Amino acid sequence: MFDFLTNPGAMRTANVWFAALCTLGLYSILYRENRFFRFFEHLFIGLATGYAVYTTWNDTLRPRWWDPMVAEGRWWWAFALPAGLLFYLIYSRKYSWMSRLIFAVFFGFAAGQAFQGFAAYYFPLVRSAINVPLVPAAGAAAAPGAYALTPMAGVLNNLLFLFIVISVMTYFFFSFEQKGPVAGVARMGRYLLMFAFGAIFGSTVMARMSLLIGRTDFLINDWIRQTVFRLPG
Amino acid sequence: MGFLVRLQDIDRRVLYLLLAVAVSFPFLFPAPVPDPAILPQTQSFFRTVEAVSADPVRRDKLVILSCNFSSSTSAESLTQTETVMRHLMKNKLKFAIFSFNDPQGRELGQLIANRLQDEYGYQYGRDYVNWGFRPPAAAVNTVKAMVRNIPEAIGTDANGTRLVEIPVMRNIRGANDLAAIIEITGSNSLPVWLQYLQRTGAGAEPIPTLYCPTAVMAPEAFPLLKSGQLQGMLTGLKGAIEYEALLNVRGFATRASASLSYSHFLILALIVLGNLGTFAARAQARRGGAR
Amino acid sequence: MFRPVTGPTLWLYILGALAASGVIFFVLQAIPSRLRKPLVALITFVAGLYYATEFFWPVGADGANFLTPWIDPLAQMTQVLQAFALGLGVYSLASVHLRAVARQRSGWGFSVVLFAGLFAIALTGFLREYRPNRFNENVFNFFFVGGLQSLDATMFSIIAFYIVSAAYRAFRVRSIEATILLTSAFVVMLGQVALGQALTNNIPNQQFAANFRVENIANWILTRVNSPALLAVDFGLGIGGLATALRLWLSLERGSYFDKEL
Repeated sequence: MFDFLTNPGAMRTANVWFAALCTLGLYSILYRENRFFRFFEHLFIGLATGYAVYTTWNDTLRPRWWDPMVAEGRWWWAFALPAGLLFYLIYSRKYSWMSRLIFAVFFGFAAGQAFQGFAAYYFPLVRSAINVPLVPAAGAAAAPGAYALTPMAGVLNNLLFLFIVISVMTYFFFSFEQKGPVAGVARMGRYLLMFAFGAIFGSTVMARMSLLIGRTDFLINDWIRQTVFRLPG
Repeated sequence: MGFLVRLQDIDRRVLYLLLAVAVSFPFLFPAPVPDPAILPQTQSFFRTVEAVSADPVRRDKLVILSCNFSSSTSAESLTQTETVMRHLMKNKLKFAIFSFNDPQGRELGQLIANRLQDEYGYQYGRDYVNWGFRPPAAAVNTVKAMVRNIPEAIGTDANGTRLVEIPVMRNIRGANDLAAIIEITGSNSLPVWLQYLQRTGAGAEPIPTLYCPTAVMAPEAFPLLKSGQLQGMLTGLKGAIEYEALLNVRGFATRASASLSYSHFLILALIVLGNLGTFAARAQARRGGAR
Repeated sequence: MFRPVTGPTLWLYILGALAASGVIFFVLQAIPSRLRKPLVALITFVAGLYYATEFFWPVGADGANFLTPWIDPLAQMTQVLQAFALGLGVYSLASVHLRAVARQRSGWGFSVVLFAGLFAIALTGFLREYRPNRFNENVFNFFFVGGLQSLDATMFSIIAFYIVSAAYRAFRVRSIEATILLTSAFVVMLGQVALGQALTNNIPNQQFAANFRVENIANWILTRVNSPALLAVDFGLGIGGLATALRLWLSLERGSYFDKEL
């Protein structure tokens, strides 16, 4: 009766039909809130949670904790269980303070690692922000890219780069009241931020469209063409 | 004038329908779309992989293919994974799939590898490995341990086999044995590599790091390209389209190029129409006021 | 003392470790309230001190110092403990939906669907690992590829519809800021797609003329205007992040979580 479950072709068809049902079920929200959508919404949360439980056990807890403790006899890993369960005391009124002990360990780790993180991430960034040549570089005219075609273009772009960094930082500098020319620079910083936000919005549109295109390709090509009408892919 | 004014308030369901038509039309009636312009960051991504392959020392090292995404961004991230993995397999580079931000990443990366491995004669364990998933909050501690001892820091692959017993991991010890880091992500997981692994090798040069973010995240990464912390970047689906062109492959990304164009043009047209409606309404109000 | 053991003795050791943990638990609970905060602060400081010192302490020829060997066991310990912590979310979700089922609240049937999905993929996942065969692999894939992958991808693709609606309604020329935002987004959108780029394909991509190709203008906005603006924001974030880390490490952070009496 369940022979089809070992047949790759039949399973592919079943997967595609199930996926199509799930896709259309969720898209029904675009018309209005309905029970069909809620069914698939809850199924999604259940599947995502169940998958996380499975991988957490399979990839981490079993090979990194259970097997070393039980198969290799490293009994001291048993201490990890009560230590890990300390997290759950956050739900207990009486013992919740003890959950702080385990959270404290990880807060401490994160804080101690922040120095290396800051140095490795920000030092090269600061260097690149300062290291912007303001005199024409030899050979710059031959550099690829539209904005470095002439030696002066590179210098102008670098000046602009510095100006934008400084004006945006000025906009976010709240330690004293911004008056006179400083206020002007800060206002410029706000306008330049709008440029950046516009670019981010343009990219966001592309990201969201891509996701929709992915599902449309699935519905039209994988489901309707290849599975329903059995046309070649 | 009344028609123009009404343009500023089109019903949302009409907008949804227009978008559905714009996106699906090219799939139903395929029409050729010009090849995309290949941007400098995509070219440098490609060149970096080629340079690693051409380097006799580096090409025997391991590439980390960090799949930190879920199916939610699969149209972008999975397409990027496929094109990049194709390039690695074409150039016979050894790689390790790994995820620490989303458990689905290890599964999705493996699905792509399963699909491509026969085409390029790749074999699990011999040519690539899947390190599996580790919890996000343990990422920094894990990556810091990887600097000196990857087999100990990761322990086992996704099937529970100890890394030291897997042929592809032979001679792979720490940061010095890494050829490149490729981060494919839908969340902010890149800094972990830059902060705790990229500059920890014995040489003066950092480990080449390549980035495949979703398009939403790409604008934030441009300073990292300028500072040399990133050697290349594929911007979402568009980056994958460009990469497919560089690899001379016609996959989903290339197929999606027309839909991407049409949907963008629809949005641009709607923005223009909305503004026309607003101008018309203002003009009408002014005239009403003057009367 | 910390030597692996095998056979029935192993279980005695494990039970012993759990019993010792129980004792530690009651000792901790007996700590007076006024000492609890200092204890939490001390643990935070020591934990942070390890990684900070390991980073700053000079290293030998092998690139390591006396603290470096502890990085491996700490990584494994963190992976295990954080794997336990992932259950916090599951516990929270399950308790809400179990209550809904138990009290038969409106829509409790959907909570049953949630549990059905959770158990289905988790059980088939375990079966696939512990009894690997094509049948178990296919059933797992039915739930992963057919179910989870499509649901996850679809759920987030819905935003595409909302973003069209939002762009249409929000992008109006109302102020200088809005106009700059609109112009920048407009050019970037145009420059990112093949048909948009085709508008200026006739302009040679060389010399001065290349500056007028739409993809170059879009990339110029991204690399020369967006990049320094976000770099400046990033500097602020970095300094703020480091300051917060210091405050956490020294237990100077304030807020409802930190100020609560223990």
